[in-house]
Amino acid sequence: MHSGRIGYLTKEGFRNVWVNRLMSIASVCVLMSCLIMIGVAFLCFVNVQALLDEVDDQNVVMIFVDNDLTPEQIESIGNSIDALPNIEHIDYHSAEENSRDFYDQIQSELLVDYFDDKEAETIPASFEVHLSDMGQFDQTLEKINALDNIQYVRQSKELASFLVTLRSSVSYISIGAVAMLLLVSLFIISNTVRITMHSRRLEISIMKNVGATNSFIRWPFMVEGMVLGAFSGLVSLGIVFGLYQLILTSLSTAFATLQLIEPVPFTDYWYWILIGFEVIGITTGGFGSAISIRKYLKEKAYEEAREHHHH
Amino acid sequence: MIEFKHVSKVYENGTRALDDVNIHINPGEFVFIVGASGAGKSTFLKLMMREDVPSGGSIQVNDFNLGTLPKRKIPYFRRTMGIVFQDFRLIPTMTVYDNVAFAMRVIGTKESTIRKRVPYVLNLVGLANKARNLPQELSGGEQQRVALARALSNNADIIIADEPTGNVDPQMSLEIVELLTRLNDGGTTVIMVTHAHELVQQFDRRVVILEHGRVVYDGNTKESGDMLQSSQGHLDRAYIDSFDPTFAITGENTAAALDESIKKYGNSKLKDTSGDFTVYLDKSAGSESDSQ
Repeated sequence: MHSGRIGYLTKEGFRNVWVNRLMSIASVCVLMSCLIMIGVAFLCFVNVQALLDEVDDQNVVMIFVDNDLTPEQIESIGNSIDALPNIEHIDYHSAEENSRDFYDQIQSELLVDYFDDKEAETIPASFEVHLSDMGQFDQTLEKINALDNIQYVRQSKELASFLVTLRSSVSYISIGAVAMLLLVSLFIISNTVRITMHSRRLEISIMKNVGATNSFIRWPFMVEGMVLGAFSGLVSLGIVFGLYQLILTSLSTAFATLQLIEPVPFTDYWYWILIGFEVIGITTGGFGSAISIRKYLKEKAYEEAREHHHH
Repeated sequence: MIEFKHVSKVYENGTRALDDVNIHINPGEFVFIVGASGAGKSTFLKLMMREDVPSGGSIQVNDFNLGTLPKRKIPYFRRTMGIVFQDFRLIPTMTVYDNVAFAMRVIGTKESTIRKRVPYVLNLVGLANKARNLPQELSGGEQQRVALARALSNNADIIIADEPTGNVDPQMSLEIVELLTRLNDGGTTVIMVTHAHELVQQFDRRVVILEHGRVVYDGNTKESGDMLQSSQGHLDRAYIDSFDPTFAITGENTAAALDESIKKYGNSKLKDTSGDFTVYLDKSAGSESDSQ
């Protein structure tokens, strides 16, 4: 195609946005509400994931080794644990450290009188094991239990399996919600474009009468859809940012008192959201228009063909 | 050159809109197509513009055989004709200049060509000074001239005017037809579809009269005599348009059907057209049957 024509058709697409501004505003609002919902769903997902990561991190397996082991034996246990699969990292706590912690914890409490130095000596050294995948908690635990010179393993299997279930449910729900919102926005956008098309049937009929080819008729509508999509994406990003900040500010005291983790900062994700919004906006805008105009032009042709075919 | 050979068109609902129509129009001719509503004028136009295809027969327009014309070639075929409609079909949000330029842009004309051509065609229809106006700021006659300028913009050698004077006052109607005849003098083929027989009679041109899908007269306006008159009937058009009770009675049981329709509609007039009867209803008859 001649470059001047592309220029004209593109300009025409932009002009259409302005000339049909009521319809444009309607389309932008519809697309924006879908994008905002997608954005909110995404941020919820990100935050829940961050929270789960945090909880995961605290769900450690504590391995207390036998008393009276030589430093070499303890080191060899450490090496064996490290060599197991699904181990993210391990921290070593010496017997002295553990006793100090123990007394630190109970000092303020009444129980302090019941413990004497002898008992403190019975507290063994330990390894704090962080797992990389909670889903394989059982298998890893089995391997840990099989190790020699181990006195006691403290773990929370229920919490681990609960976290795994929660994580996968959150993923499914988020993916489902985003997919549904995408479908809804595509459906609404293509309907909105069809209404636009209906309100512009005069223009289309003139174009057909003077001999414009179908691609020439289609292009300005597609440009229009893409412009609206890109614009909706940008504005939605701003609105989602505003909403997120608003929610963070109003919930900041709640976060502090509940001692929950810090919410994920928007700045960590804004470019992902922007890219997502622009991709969704431009494709639903462009494709929505293309689908609608194709359908519209086909229906016209079909009406003619049907009348003919019948005889 | 436009040639209709044994063209017929029957719609899905059984309406026979055109019946064995044969018309040959040479380049540079000016032809009025006249007929009452339902006579087949619109179908004739639709077929000629390849908006629809005939049920039988063949149509040739310039170098295009419309029966074998592939769909993707239709746009290129349409570029050889300029079309003017009764309702003008101007885009209300565009200026006069842009309305004309629009028709050129959408077929990919270069902007430099458009800048030269639009003022030229606007001048041709006498609207050079209204280029910056919006359609609603113009009178009906002026709007139709803009539509005509648009039809001329792409150098079409056939101009098709579908009831171009339908929404225009009588004085303006005359001017529009005169403008068309001037274009015709310049070599453009003009086909004007109309029901305004008084207007047609003022011009010494070829006239084709359609009735119930058939050509009942093809000749000069001066010699058409009362054919032109009777093609209209002498009835109130608005009445016919709003009730559309004009119908033909054909085939067997003609007499019985006539009796029944006279009973039903009361005072109606009958016209014998080649063996069949056309029933024309009086305005008063309609209101009587309505009130019953």
